[in-house]
Amino acid sequence: MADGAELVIRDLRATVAGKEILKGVNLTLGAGERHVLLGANGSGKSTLAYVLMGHPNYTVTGGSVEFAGQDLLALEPDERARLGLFLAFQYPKEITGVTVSNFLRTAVEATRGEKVSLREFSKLLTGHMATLEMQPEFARRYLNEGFSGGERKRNEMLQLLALQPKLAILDETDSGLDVQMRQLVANVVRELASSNTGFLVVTHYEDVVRQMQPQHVHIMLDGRIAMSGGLELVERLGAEKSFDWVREEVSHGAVN
Amino acid sequence: MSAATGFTVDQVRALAARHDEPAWLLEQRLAAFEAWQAAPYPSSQDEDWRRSDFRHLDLERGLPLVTPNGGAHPRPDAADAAGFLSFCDGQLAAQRLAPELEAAGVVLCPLHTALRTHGDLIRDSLMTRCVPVDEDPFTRLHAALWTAGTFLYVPDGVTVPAPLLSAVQLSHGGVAALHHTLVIAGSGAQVEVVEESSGGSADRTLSVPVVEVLAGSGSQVGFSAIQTWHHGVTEVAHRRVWTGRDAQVRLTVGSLGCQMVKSFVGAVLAGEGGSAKLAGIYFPEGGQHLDYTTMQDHRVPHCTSELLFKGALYDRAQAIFRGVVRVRPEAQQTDAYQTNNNLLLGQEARADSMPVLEIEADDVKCSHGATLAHLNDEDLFYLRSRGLESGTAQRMVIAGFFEPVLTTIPLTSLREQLQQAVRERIAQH
Ligand SMILES: Nc1ncnc2c1ncn2[C@@H]1O[C@H](COP(=O)(O)OP(=O)(O)OP(=O)(O)O)[C@@H](O)[C@H]1O
Ligand SMILES: [Mg+2]
Repeated sequence: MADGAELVIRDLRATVAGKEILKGVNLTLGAGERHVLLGANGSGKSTLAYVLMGHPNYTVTGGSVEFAGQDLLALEPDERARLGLFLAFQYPKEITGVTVSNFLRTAVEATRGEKVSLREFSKLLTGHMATLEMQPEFARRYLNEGFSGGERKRNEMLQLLALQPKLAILDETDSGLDVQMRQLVANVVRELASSNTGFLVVTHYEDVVRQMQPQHVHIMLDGRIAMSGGLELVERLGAEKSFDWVREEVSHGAVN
Repeated sequence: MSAATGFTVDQVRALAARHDEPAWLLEQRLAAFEAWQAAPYPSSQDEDWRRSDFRHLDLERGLPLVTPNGGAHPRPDAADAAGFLSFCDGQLAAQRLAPELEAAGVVLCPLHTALRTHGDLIRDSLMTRCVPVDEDPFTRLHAALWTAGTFLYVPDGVTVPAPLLSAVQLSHGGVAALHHTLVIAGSGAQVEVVEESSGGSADRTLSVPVVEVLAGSGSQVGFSAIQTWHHGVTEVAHRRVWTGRDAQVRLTVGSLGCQMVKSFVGAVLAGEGGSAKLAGIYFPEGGQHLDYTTMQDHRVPHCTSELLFKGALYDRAQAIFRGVVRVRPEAQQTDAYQTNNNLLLGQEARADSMPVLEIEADDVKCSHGATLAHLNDEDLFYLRSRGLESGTAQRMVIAGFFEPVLTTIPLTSLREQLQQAVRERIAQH
C-alpha cells in the first residue's frame, strides 16, 4: 500500500461503559507524517486509538474523523483496515487454533483485495520475520497464545510490516521491550516511513521518540490534546519527569 | 415373543451360525441377550443416562440387523494410511495392509476372521475387562448382537509407521449397526488407528459401537473415532483404552452427525507409569443432542491422564458433558486433568458441563476446568482490525477453536476432511 493518507480528527468525543473518556480531541496528521502522542496513564491515548479503529466497546458521542477522504466513523473496523488504517494493540488478543501465518496471509489478502500465492506470501513472511529477528517456528504458533510480552509486540510489528498500511497507530508497541528491541521498533518505523506510511505513536520512551524523528509531538490530558509541538516537548518531559506542568500551563491558559 | 418383532434370540443364533462362531462366543452372546431382555433400558435414575431418553428407539420393536444390500462399496480414500479395513452394511468391503507389516505379524482383519487365528486372544479380551459385557443394557445388547468387527493386533515391539484406517459405513437406514473394534497392541508396539463411521438415513437407525483398545506395556497407541452419521441416526457408543505399564495412549472422538448420541469415552489406567490423553470435539446443529460421559479411571499408582473436550453448538443443539475422574485408593501419585470448553453459537443452544471427581487416594494432583462462552467481540475486533470481514473473522475463530483437538488426528486425509467439514458447517450458518 503505497503513499500515506491524511487523518483529520475534529472535536471527537467518546464514552466507554457510560463514562466520557474523549472530551473533544482535535488532531490532524498529514499524509506520511510521523506524530508522537504522549500523556499520563489513563489520559485516553488507547481510547483514541481504539475509537479510530472502531472498537465495539467504545461509543462515539460527537465529532468527526476523516481518513483518506472518507468518513472513518461510518465504516466497519475491517473497512477501516482495508482503507489503510492499522493499529498495533497495546494488549493483543489470543486466538486459539489460528496460526500466525494463516492469519497473516488472510489479512494480507483481505487488505490487498486479491489472492496472494503461497510462494509470494512465504517470501514476504520470511523476509519480515528475519527483519524482526523471529524464529521460523513462530509462524506456526497460535496467535498470541502463550506469547511473552515481547513476542506479542514483535507479532504486532510483523503484521505492520506485512500489511504496509497508509497510517499506523502504535499503542505502546515499545513497552516491555529491551533497548535493543526498542531500537528495532524505531527502525521499522523509519523503514515504513520512507515508503510514506504515516505514524501516530503512543509511547513512554524518549529514545524511541528521538529515533523515529517525529514532525509533531502531542500531549494528551484528560481526554483532550492539551499541547502540541515538536521534540522540545519531549525534552521538557524528560527534565520534569511528570506531566504536572502540562496541567498547570493548560489551566493557566498558556497553551500553544 | 414372536420372531417377527423385537430383537430376538433367533437373531443371535443366526448370527453365530452364519459365521460358524465358537461355542464360547455363542454362550457370551446368549447370556448377554438374556440379561438385556430382562432390562432393555438403562434406569432413568442413573446419572449417566438420565439426561438422554432413549425410549423413542422403541427397542422392544427391534430392528433388522444390518445386512449387505448389494450397493456400491466406496473405497476409503486413504492413500496415506499403512492399511485399512472397510465395512459397508456389516460386511467387509475392502481391505489392505502393507506387506511388510503383514510380514511383521501385524493383523488387520474382520473380527470374525480373526476368531479362527487368534481365538484365545480374543476370548481373553472381548468385552471381558476394557468394556465388560455387563456394564449397561447397551453393552449387553452389543455383546449379544455385534454383527461385524475390526480386529487389529500389533505384535510386541512392532512399530506401524503410518496410521491404519477402519471405516464403518451404512448405505441405508432402518437398521441396527453394532460394530465391534478390538485393538491389541503388544509390549512396546506403536500404532495409530483412525475409525470413521458414516451413512445411515432418517429411518430409525441405531448404531451401538464398542471400541476396546488394549495397550500393552510400554506401547504407544492412538485411536481416533470420528462419526459423520446421517442426522437421523442414534448412536450409543462405548470407547475405551486400557493401559499397561508405561503405556502412552491417546483416544480422540469427533462428532458431527447423528440426531442423538450417548457416548462413553474412557481410559482405564491399569499399569503403573501409564499415561492417557482423551480428546473430543463436537459441533452439533439443529436439534442434535450429544451426551458424553468420560471416565479417567486410575487404578494403579504413578499414572497421568489429560482430557480436553471442545464443543461448539448452533441452533437448538444440546451438549452434556459429564467428566468423571476416578482415583482408586491404590492409585497414589496420580496426575489427572480435565478441561471442557463450550462455545455457544445458537440462540437456544445449551451446554452443560459436570465434572465429577471421585478421589479415594490422598497423594493426587487433580484439576478440572470448564468454560462456556459466546463469540467474543473483542477477539473478533482484533481480527477485523486487520481487514478480515466479520464473517471471515467468525469462521476463523470457530475453526480455530477446534484446532487443538483436530491436530491430534494423525491421518492427514481424514484430518483435512474434518477441517473441511467444520468449515462447511460454519459456512452453512
Ligand atoms: N472498558 C472500560 N470501562 C471503564 N473504563 C475504561 C474502560 N476502558 C478504559 N477506561 C478508562 O478510560 C480512561 C482512559 O483509558 P486509556 O486506556 O485510554 O488510557 P491510556 O492513556 O491509554 O493509559 P495508559 O498509558 O495507562 O495506557 C481510564 O481512566 C480507564 O480506566
Ligand atoms: Mg494505553
